[in-house]
Amino acid sequence: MGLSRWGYYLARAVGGFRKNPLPASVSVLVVALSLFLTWLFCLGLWGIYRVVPHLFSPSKAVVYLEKGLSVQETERVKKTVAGWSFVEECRYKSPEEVLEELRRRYAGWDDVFQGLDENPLPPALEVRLRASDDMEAALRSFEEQARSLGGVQDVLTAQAWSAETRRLMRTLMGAGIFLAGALLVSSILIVANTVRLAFYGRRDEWEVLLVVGAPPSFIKMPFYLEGILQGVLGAVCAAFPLWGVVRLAAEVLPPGLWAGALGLGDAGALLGVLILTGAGLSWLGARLALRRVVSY
Amino acid sequence: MASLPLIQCFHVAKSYVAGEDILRDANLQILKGEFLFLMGPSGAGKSTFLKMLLGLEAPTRGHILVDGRNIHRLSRKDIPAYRRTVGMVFQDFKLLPRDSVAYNVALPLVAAGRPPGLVRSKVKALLQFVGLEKKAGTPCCRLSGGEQQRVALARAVANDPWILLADEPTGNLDPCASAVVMELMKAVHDRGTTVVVATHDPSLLEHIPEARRVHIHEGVFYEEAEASSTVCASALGGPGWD
Repeated sequence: MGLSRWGYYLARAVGGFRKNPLPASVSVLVVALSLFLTWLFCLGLWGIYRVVPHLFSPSKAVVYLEKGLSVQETERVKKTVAGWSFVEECRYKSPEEVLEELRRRYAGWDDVFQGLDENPLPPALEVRLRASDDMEAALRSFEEQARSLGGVQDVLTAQAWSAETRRLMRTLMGAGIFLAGALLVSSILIVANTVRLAFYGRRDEWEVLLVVGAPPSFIKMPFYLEGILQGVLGAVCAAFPLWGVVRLAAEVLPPGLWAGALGLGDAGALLGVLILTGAGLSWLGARLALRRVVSY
Repeated sequence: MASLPLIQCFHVAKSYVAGEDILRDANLQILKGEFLFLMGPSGAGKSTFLKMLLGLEAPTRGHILVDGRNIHRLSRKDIPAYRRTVGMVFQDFKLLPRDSVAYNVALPLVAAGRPPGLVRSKVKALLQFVGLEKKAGTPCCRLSGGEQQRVALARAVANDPWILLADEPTGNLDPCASAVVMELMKAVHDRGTTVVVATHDPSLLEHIPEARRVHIHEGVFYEEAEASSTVCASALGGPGWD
């Protein structure tokens, strides 16, 4: 037995864990699952947020021209576009150059391009717009004008993508926050119930402590530690599969889409963050369980 | 020099069910260093009275003063410190059965935040006092009833309390073990502690014949000399108590 207060707290916390292995294990698993899913979602979302700006530059647009358009027609369209006030730069790209750029951008996805017998891409004009306070309006206006020109097959701007992406991100974020919140609250409640169960299971013990003049903090502290222990163990359990998923994603996805964007090279940092989250959650659970017990 | 009153009870009443008083208008004064037997049949209110002295129960009416302080008006943060000035021994020992003898004795000292070195030396001395130093590491559940009560006694006096309360301390013991426990109580008393033993067993009185004897009858305290003539003990403290 520890003859100091902290020795006593730790001995009782670990002893309590051993006395009730089943509820404590369930609690650890729930915390692990909650942390795993929540942090997986957070990492995924973080990755998307980091990657999206690289994929869609808001000041760029591509005007795809009709295949077989004559040189004169192509030059006419190019001149017209370059003459618009909000266009800073306009550059012609042959179908081969367009395909080459795609290959360069998606370097990890070579398989996609290998099966092509002929280049399906049309020639294009790559346009850079002047910086504006209302870039979306400028893009919208550019798109409308470009589409009205003869010889233009399609116009691709970041405007449609960024609006769609933002909408998708908002939906994802809302669903994710709801899911993560529900998971975290459920793990707090599970820890609270486990701690409460342990507390009333050891009623004889704390009744003795009341008689010998132990302060409430002394009586409650082992139960707080027991709860925190569950959170820390849950975090450690969540860390292994989470790290596995991160490593797998780094191998499967193109470098630009995962490792480079997320910058996750430090397993220790991930473990530390998980442990802090787990300990915080379980402390809240223990606090909830012990809020109104043992008062003089 | 006359001893000062350590415990004073004024018109104390206690009821768990309205209209059914366990104690009613009970008055008592216990002097510092006194050894007092509180006698009465089961259900007379002895245990309730001891619990009130420890601050585990509050009186329905009246006041209990210990060392001049109304213990039921103590602030929450002062209650643990007060309880460390009162040791209590129970009939059913109330030990942590799976924990060792030394652990049980150390518990009040650790709870009071005493330094580990002091805890160690104090536990050793206490176990020597109750004659269990060789069983320091034994789980309490492996001890006999008499030994368990000695552990409970060592735990009760660990913080050098002013008052030792014992609720039927020999109720579960054979006569030999009872004699040992009563000898230890006497030794605690000889060191200056005020001892209150609640019992329904008159044979215990033989161990300490000089002890004061108070009976509880129908919720009221009576001195033994007065018990036969049923003089109400509300006059025990004199008119100054009112």
